[in-house]
Amino acid sequence: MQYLSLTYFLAISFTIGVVFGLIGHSSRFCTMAGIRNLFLFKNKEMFLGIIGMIVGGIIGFTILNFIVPTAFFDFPIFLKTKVFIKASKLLLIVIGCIGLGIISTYADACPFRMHVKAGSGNLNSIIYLLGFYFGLVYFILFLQDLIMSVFFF
Amino acid sequence: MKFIRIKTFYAGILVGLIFALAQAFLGYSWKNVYAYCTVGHSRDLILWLTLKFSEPEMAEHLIPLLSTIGVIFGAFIASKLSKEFHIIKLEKNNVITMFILGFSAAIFGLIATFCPIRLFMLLSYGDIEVLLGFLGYALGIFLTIKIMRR
Repeated sequence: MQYLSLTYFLAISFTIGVVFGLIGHSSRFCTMAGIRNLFLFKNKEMFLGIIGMIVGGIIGFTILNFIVPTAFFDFPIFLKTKVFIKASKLLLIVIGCIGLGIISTYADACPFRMHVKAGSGNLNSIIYLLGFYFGLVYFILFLQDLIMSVFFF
Repeated sequence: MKFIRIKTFYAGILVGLIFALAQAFLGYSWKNVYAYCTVGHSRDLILWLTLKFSEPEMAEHLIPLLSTIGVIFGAFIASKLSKEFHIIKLEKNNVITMFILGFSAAIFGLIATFCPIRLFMLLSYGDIEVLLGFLGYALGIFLTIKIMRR
């Protein structure tokens, strides 16, 4: 039974990935390029993708929340739980996001777009992905406990 | 065969709807809005693989998710179908920079606990705290543009 559910999760998540890859390649969708083009060239086309993602998410979550309520645990988070309580969480979010913005702009794509680029044969982004997975392992091994002990408040 | 070019706005709406549908299929798993995350799913996959060989009892508490591998595969299929698949060769002086950029992207992503896609999905899920993250993301991009243009 345990292995049956494992295959289920693997199959579903792989399917999601394939669909996202198809969409990502055929629309050149990138979250970083949306904001960058808005700042640099005043070009709204990519930014509309981000808006569309939020709109689509709101529509999808609201409709499916009525059908499968167990999958959407406390759906509108700002109504169900108290927000802005843990200062450390907010600090970590802000630090991480500023870092992600800087790194994505230097690398010329957000992590999602880098996966798509790697799929369409860009060897530079395959090197990026190598570093990406190496960084994940490094974080789990050495940095996780350090950050947990510094940001405990 | 000619492949369809989707406009980014409709692509965004599709991504949002499919994300919600996938969330309905996968169910709630120890985190809200966790149907797709570039950083988190790769982390889960690596953790599960290592635990499977070192401590098999611990691995049963984790769910490995293959979606990031799927994205690479899907992009490969799409580029083959539209005949846009061509190998872009490595630039010699770019290798170490790319490696370091990927390395730090993973670390910052894990500090924030989400990738940009999950950031916007969390926003649509009603998490107001993540608004700070959006502002930080925009600020980081803005600062880098200012530095690079000088």
